[in-house]
Amino acid sequence: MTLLDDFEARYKLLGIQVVNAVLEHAPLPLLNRTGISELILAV
Amino acid sequence: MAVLSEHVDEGPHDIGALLNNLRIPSNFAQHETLEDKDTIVQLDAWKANAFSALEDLRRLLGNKLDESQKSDLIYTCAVFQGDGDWTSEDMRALSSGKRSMYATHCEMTEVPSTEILELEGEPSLFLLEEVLAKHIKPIFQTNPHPMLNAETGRKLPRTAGGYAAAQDAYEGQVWKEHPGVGNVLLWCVQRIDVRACILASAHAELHRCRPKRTNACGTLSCPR
Repeated sequence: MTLLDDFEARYKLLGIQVVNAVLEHAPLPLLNRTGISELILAV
Repeated sequence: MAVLSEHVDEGPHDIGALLNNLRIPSNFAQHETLEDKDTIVQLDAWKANAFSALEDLRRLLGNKLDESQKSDLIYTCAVFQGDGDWTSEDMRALSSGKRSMYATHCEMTEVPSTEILELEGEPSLFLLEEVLAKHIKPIFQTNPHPMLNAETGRKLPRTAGGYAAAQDAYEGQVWKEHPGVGNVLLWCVQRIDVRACILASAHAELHRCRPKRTNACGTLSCPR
């Protein structure tokens, strides 16, 4: 989230890649339970 | 800044020393805007010699590594994956293990896919956790995201420190002094086995919920 919310485009782009990987490789119930899915949707 | 020029003449024979020398100098984070010529020359020299250091590392990796050394190895080599002024096509290939052509260093010779990061096969969930906990978390923990609890990783009900904290998070960003840390994070997340992760998560939940002094099956003594 720190990368995704950064003001520099290069870090933001890297953050998007990391979030894509998280959505592909992390269990969805974990993302929901921790509130990370909510944060990602709010970006 | 670790300068690798001495390494070319008399290379270190210890994996730990090589890994230390391969840590990306923090000045690479400002490489595009640097004006000091000496620093630029130093960084160029570092990069020119880092490939040889990776080759030396590859040669030394015949011995079995323990988990801690493996996590150090991943943290050091995964920074060369992805983009960055500190890496190149050749360094990406050598550190990753992908079958490729070493255009500049090996006169277009194809090399087998047995290079550094793939030497040990796919990393286990335990090893990925070790890299994230030992190397990545401490770097980002100094500037936690204002909407996250740095300990639990859970979303906070409201922004920590109030509205202005969101702006404060942009000051003193220590993680930017570690060029390539995002590459390592991405490399690790891309290798998480979601099924192993679900099992580990369920196991942890079971341990958390069950009464103390009983086994996972709910009994005090579990027959084996």
